[in-house]
Formats: sequence, structure tokens, C-alpha cells
Amino acid sequence: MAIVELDGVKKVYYLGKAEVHALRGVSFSIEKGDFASIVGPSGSGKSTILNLVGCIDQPTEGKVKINGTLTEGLSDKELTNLRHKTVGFIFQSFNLIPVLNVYENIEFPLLLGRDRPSRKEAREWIEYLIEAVGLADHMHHKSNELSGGQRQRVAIARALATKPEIVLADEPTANLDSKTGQSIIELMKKMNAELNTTFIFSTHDTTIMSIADHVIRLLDGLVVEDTKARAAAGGLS
Amino acid sequence: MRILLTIAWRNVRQHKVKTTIIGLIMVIGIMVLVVGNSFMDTAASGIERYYIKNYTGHLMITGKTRGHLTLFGFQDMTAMEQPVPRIPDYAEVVEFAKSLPYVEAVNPQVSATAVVSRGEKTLGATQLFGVIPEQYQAMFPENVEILEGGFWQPGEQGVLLNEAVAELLEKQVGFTFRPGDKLLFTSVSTHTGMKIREVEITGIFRFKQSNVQLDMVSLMDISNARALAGMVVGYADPAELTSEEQRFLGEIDEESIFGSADALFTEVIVEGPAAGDDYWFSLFEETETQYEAVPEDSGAWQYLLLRLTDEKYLRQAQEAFEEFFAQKGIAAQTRDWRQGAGALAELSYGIKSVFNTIVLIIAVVAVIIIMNTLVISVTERMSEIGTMRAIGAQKSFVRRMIVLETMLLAGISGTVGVGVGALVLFVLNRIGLKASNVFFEIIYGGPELRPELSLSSVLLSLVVIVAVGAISSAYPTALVMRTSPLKAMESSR
Repeated sequence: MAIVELDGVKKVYYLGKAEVHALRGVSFSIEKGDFASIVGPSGSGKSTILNLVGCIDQPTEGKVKINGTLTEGLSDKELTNLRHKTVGFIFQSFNLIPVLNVYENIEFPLLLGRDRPSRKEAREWIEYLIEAVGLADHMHHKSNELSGGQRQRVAIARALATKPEIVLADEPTANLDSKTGQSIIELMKKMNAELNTTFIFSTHDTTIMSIADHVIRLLDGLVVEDTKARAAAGGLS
Repeated sequence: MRILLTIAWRNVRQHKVKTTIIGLIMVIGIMVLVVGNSFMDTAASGIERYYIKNYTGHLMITGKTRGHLTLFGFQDMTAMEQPVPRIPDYAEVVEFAKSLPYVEAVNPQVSATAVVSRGEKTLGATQLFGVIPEQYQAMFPENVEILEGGFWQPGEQGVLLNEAVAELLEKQVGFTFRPGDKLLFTSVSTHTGMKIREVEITGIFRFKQSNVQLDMVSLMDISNARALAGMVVGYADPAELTSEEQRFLGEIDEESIFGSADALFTEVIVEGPAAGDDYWFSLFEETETQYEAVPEDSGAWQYLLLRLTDEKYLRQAQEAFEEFFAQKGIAAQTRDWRQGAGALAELSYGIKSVFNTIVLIIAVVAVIIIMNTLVISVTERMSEIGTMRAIGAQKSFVRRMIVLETMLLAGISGTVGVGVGALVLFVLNRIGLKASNVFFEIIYGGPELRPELSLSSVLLSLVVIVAVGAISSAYPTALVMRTSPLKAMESSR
């Protein structure tokens, strides 16, 4: 079942009078539970695709369907609701809320929607996520008391807090050293396997590409390769 | 809400520079507001007590008129157009006033302005209150301090000269006026012409609490005061005429005496069958004895001052009188003590308005500084706000977050500001502020002011702080509302 569908998507940005064609007609779909990688050089359109799939931008032309919902024509409020229920974000610079501690950062998305779990359920789920990302000893630490890798682990847990169908990761290892980056990828893969959550990430990192079971390669705003193949479980070892 | 409060509180604590700048502006602003308004309120309540107790009572009844009529006469250009009207159906009005359970005392009064002279020399001007001593003292038992002599006796005439006026006259002639001396009082009006009265000084007095305006007021017997006020006094005393006299008088009318010279005369409306005679005689000659036959309480009064058992009945009393006047068709109206008190009492309220205008300007400046600080603050937090939007926060959530942060800061600063203001007021109250000149005496409502924290100033401060918070966060909030979740992505790269 396709969780993400892009059909003939074009995106044009305007820089003054100049038109920048970020996407020139992109079509692909990603299945539920995929560990998908969008790869390509800078300016190829990776981030634009993540923005469109994350419902934080709209295409100039074409259709984007997220979990069966067409994003075209949705209001800001509807798009926000769709993001909240369906999509989790992992940012390159972690983007934790600085005044909140680890537990509160992970709890934050749960406090935004109308359909909130009970306090007990939420606590159990957050504690499970904290345990899963290996930060049980840092539950009450603020983000400035954590290392880069730890912050990204918090970001992964936060992205999974609302049990979304899709987690988008924008170059999640770019600001981390290779060892930490590898552990983060392992963690994401583990969560993908445990929760059957679809992970879509943009990357330059060939190591990550090698464990992705779906690789979409972009060049100058066009898909030049769309390979679906289950990567070997031991790809990272 | 819990998460909003948590974020707001921690941001207030974390962004120390912003918190200090905004907090300090708000604390100082609120402190100035609390101290200033409490100061003004204390002074205003002093002025209120002072005027009600000593000069105006709670309520003033006058004849119906337009213009700014006070106890000192008209205080606007209307004075040039019309004389101070008398209260019509005075006896009925007094009777009604006395029937009201919350009316404690009544005092009729007449006001006139006269030039004082002695011999050929003009010495200055004075304001005269024509009163009946017994009623005046019953209404204002503690306002007059007799320095020499005393009030004139019932049925007699005289003037109780204000010490300040006496001193002014003394400077002009180098002569100390004492009871028994006579002064010439002259009033001029476009309506009633020139009136001159020679009146004996029966005493010298001072108002126990006074100001520059009241220092000019002397008290005079009602007959002379009425004459100087240009009032035509009606005195109803029907005469029995023989049939021969009636026949003779029937052949005489104005036409037969004056011909058709109507254009030379202004129409004068008088009451009572004999009132016309007084007027005609007054045209020919002024005599000292002309008004002697007129009883003091003849009904010719410009003002009826009422003291109520409690100020809370003021509105009730006003409504009762307005209804009574409407019902009886009496062309009279009520004015509260402040309208009656005149320019100086109003000046203190004017100063309060000026103060509040200054506060408003300060508030505008504060809003601009706070707004700028908040704009810088939210600009620095665009990535954080974008992240919140990306992970599911609606626009309303981030708006509430910014407003709550500002309000939290405003609340804390406001509380501190009120506290500091209260402390300053406590110290000022202990020290007491002495009025160094007449201007401050007017503002203070007396020679010394001991300001007290007023509830209204605290409430006003709360309103101002909420308004400042809301207004100054409006633009930063609008900026935040426009923040796209894309900001999170862009700042992250």
C-alpha cells in the first residue's frame, strides 16, 4: 500500500524575477514500512520533496497524496492536522525546543492535538521511546546538556511520539560524526522494523543509501533512479 | 495550557536580557502610574471633602441655564450674555428639599462680583457670597474663622471681609480696615447696569481651608448682595385701594406715562404683583433703604446648596429633583459639587488628565520599546517556532505562546511595579508633602498631602499593563503567525 504518492509534481521558486525549477515533474510512490532514501547532489530537489511530503509546502503543479489524502487545496489548519497525525520530523540540526527537557520535548507533539492519550498512556509511551533511543539516564536533561548524537536520538523519539505513519529525516547524520551517524541510522532502522513506520530521509551518505530498501535518486529536479529492493539486514555491520 | 505555561515561564527566565529590558520598563511605568494616580486620587478626594464640607455641599440647585455656572458665577463667555438666574418657585423647591430624608442641611446663596473702593480710590475686586449667617453656619459649621468682629445681626446689613481681601486693600491704601469701617461696593452688568452699595464691615474672617479663589470671597448680607448681583426682588404685599384710587389708576398705564418708547426698554420678567414697582423705582434712584423692606428669605436666591447625609445619595437626589422640576414645570436644575466648585477644583482634575496624558505617551513609548525587543526575540526564535509548526502546532498555539509570555512578563513586572509604588507611597505618606506654593496647594487640595495607595490606581495599572502587553505583542505575534514550518527546515540546513 502506497503511503506517499507523487504524480507529475513540479515546483517553481521565484528569486526576484528569476524562476528556479526545483522539481520538473516528479512521480514516485513509497510503500508503508519502507526505509526510503532520497539521494542526489545539492540542488537536485531532495529538500523540496521532503517539504512536499511533510505538507509544509505545496507543489506548483502535480499531485501529492499522503496516506491517501490529497494535500492540494487543504487549509493551513488541515495541513497542520495532517502533519501532526501522519508525519514526524527529524531535522539536520535536531531543532529541539531549548527550554524543554528530553521528556518534555518528546511529550510536546502529544500535547498539540485534540485526540490526546491519557496521561498514563502518554507517560508509558514516552518512557518506552526514551528507553528505545537509549536516553533513560538523560530524561530530565535540557538539550544544551546533551551531545549531538543524543539530541538526534531525542529528535527521533519526538518524531515517533504521535505514532505517525511517516517519519521524514532531512540529512539526519550531516551534523554528526560517522560513528554517531551510524548509530543513529541503526536506531532509525530498528524503529522502522519495530513500529513498521515509514522512514524517508534525504542524504548524501552512501552508508545510509546502502541500507535503504527504496532509493530515489534525483538530478536537476527529475527522478533518475527509483530502486525498490529490500536491503540486507546486515548492511551496516 | 500546561505546556504553554511551562514554555512561557522558562523563556521568561532564559532570555534574561529581554526579560530585564521589558521588565524594567514595565516596573518603572507601573510604579509611576500607581504613585501618580494614588497621589492624584488622594488630592482629589481631599479637594472633594474640602469643597463639600466647606463651600458647596453635595448638590447645588440653580435656575435653569446654559453655560458653565458655578458658585462663583458663570465661568465662561455665557457670563456676558446672561445674568445668573434666580431659582423659580424657591419656597416650593426648599420645601421639597427638606422633605427628602437624605437631605441634611440646606443653604441659599447669592453670588456677586464687586469692585471695592473707598472714597474716590478703587482698591480691587472681591467675590461676594450673599448669605443668611445662621443658615450658612448651620450648613458649613467649621469653615469660617472669625478674626475680628463677627457676622451682621439678623435684619441688619454688613460685610464679613475676607482677611486676604482686607490685606490686599490695606496694601492699596496703607490703612487697616476694621469692623465699623465702610466700603463702597460697585457691580456692573450689561443687564442691570451699575449698582453701588456702601456697606459696613462687621468683621474680618478667614476660611479655615482656602485657596486663591476662596481668598477673594467675602460674605455679605443678602439685601446688598442681591442688589450687587443685579437681582430684581419680588415682594408680594397686596395693597387695599379705595374705589376712587382704583378708578384713578385705571386711567394710567405705561403708554400714558412714557408714550411709545418701548424700544428703549428691555423686557424684564418679574414675579409678584409689586415686583414691577421695584424695577421701575430702581431705574430712577438707588437708595439704601430700598431693599430694607425685603425679607431675607424672600425667594430671590441664585443657589440652593444641599448637604446630604451621605454622598451615595447624590445621584438619587439629583434624579429626585430633576423629576420634581419636570413634574412641576420649574425651570431649575441640579449641579453636583464639582460643577459648583469652579475652576480651581476642576483644575486639579485637569492636572490629573494631563498626568494621564503623559502616562499615555510614556505607555506608547514603552509599547514601542517592548515591541522592538519582542520582535528581536521572536526573530531569534523563528527556527524554534517553525519547528513547533512543523510538528503539529497550529498558528493559534504559537500566538497564545507569545501572548502568554508577554502577559506573564507583564504580570510579574506589574506586580513588582505596584509593590514598589506602594512602598514609595508609604514613605511619602509618612513624610507628608508640603505645598511650596499656591499651585501645589491647588493640586494637593490643601497645604499638605499624604498620598495613599488607591484601589483605582492599582486597577488602572492592571488595565494599562494588560493593554501594553497586548498591544506590544500584537506585531511580534503577527510575525510569528506568518512563520512557515519551512523556517524549521531552512534554519536546520
